[in-house]
Amino acid sequence: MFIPLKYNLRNLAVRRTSTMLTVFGIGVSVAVFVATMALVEGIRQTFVTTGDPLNVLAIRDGAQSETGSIIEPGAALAARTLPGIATGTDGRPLVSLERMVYVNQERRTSGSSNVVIRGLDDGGRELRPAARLVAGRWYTPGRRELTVSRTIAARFRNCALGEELVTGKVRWSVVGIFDAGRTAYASEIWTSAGDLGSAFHRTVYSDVMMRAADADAQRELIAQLAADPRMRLDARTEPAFYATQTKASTPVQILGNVIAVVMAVGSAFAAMNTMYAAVASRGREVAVLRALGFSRAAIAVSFVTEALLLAVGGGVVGGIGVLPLNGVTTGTTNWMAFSEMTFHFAVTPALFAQGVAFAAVMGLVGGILPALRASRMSPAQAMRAL
Amino acid sequence: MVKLILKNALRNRRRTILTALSVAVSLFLLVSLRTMIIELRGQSLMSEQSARRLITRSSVSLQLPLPLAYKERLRRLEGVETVSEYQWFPCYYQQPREPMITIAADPGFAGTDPDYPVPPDELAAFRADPTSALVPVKMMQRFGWKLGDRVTFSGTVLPFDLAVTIRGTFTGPAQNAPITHFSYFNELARRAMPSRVDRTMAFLVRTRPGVSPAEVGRDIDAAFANAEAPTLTESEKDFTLGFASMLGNVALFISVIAAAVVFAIVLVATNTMSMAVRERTHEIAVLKTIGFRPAQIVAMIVGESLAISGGGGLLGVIGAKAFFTTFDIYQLTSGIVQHFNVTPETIGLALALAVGMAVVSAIIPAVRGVLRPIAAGLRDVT
Repeated sequence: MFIPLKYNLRNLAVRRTSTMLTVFGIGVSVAVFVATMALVEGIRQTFVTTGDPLNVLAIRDGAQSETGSIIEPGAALAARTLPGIATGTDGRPLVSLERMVYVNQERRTSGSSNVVIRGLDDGGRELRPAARLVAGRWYTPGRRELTVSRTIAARFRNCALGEELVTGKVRWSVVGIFDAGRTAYASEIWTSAGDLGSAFHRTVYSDVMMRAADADAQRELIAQLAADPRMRLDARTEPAFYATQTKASTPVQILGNVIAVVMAVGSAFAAMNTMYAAVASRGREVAVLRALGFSRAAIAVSFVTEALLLAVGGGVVGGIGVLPLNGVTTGTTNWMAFSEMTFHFAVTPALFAQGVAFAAVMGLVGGILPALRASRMSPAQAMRAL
Repeated sequence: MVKLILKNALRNRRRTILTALSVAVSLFLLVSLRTMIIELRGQSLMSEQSARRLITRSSVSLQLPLPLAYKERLRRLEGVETVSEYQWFPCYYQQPREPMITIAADPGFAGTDPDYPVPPDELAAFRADPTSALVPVKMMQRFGWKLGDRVTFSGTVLPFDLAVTIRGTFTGPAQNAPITHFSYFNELARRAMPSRVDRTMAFLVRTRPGVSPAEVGRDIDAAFANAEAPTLTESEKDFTLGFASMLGNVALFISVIAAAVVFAIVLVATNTMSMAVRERTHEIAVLKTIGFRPAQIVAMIVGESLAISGGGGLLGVIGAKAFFTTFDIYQLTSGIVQHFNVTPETIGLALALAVGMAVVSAIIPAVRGVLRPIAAGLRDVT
């Protein structure tokens, strides 16, 4: 027969100060854990929500990212004529030969970073319906105009509607703002591939994007792009390509995990401390419980439960503490693409649950030894103890 | 009195050890976090010499290379001692793909910097062979390379490979990039990518001793303000700091975590001290009865906290220093983190913090314990 949960709850309430201090201590560890994971999750969500499943994106074989890819014009033009490409609303094949360049821009706050300018072909915008115009208008090819994503416009100087961005001798006017939701495109500035090429003296392309007519055509296209000796490109579906870019968050993830584990060790010691104190001061109670007929196991279970309650309380507190972070936009450099990526912290229910589970582990580790100690106390001795 | 404090601290040995360990783990983490921030800012790379090294690149983008013709113009500018091309070549080495960067530079420049010494015979061999490379000593160890080895660096951005012979090695703060001849890079570019020939990502400029590098930098940018590609010249330090600033809020994020860690330790230590005081309500009343002044008793409890948290803190700080001295972070992280120097300031700061937290965490429980009327304290049974 087990000791009722109410007993543990009341005990925690009686030892208020100690309980609160331990709960907050564990809460802080959990908060750090959940916050880091929310950052990683934010980056992951940005990349996995990017892309239409029928789109095919090709970069140079061996390149790590679009900005680090160079495709000779011959290869790009050959890719354009492949069979199986879907037709756009204007009746032409839905394909876009694109250039990407990063420019060093100052943040509105402080410091600077590389911001990506993507030069698109005619079909480029239709291939990416996620980007919707929210202010001004789309750039007109040939006039050195830019349409900037909402997040970049807010975070970088000279990027807001009506402002002028200067790259060397070229002056670009910002004529519109687009919203690309939470996709990778939300960290970009768009213009026409021709204008970008002439401003940066580039004849080469960075990537080729196209929409396949159907799933079979898509498989065929990917195979052709890789095998055709004129091209030899690394082609994937657009979602698959952006999924590979989530590797960008690996360093943060490793760092966050290491910090969280070290903090958890510290918190587990603290929890153990609290539980030992609880056991020590309740010697008589334990003896009474034993005298009432509760088994050793029941007592051990009861104390472990109490430790778990303490820890889970901390987990919930820590998780709630991090909730305000949900949706906060921030940016860091994607080292694979060597440019700014903006993302939103994502505190998902799953992460919250992971945080609580993480706390529970701390509670278990901290609670088992004291609980065993309580269960081993001899009732007679414990009764006598003052 | 000191004896009493120590006796008290050791009375509940398990609690003392657990608290001290908890503080030690946290201090270890704090020292690591602070070191991380320092290293992110590239401070280990800074030296007296590095102030004299300037990097001149396109003001628009690192992706817009500068014409080689700039080299001669740079060399003629006042205050400039030597100029070298500075071209990154992102690549990977063999299988499994090990991503890295090699730097193509002027062979006459390599080995002349006191920060990066090269043995004279190796330097001569390197300069004589255009398809050779100088490799950082730590990298030689990591890949098990020997002098005379042939290695191939396959380009990930540019469509060609550098096949080089290792002719020399160098020590110095930056240990993550082999150096190759710029002429060889340029030849390969001529064959594989004609649009990219006779251009370099940036120039490395060393100023003469005694002149202000910042002024030389301004002169350079003024000289090229109306040229085909305007330049941006920064000290090597600012160039490195620029990458740290690209990281955005990461430093802030780490600082917030560090603050959270401090907060957590205070909670843990406070908990321990209030437990200790609660247990001794009776005793404190007795001490007061026999004439100890409240201030003395508070001092005693604070002293005990200092002994526990201070001891734990010391353990954590020494542990961190020992850990990062014993283990080579360069090898542990496959060369991604080059340095992890725990500075004396960091150690001092961490210890001061441990002492501060010990005092803060003891004050409230101590005062609360002392303020209790003697009679109430004596009546207390638990």
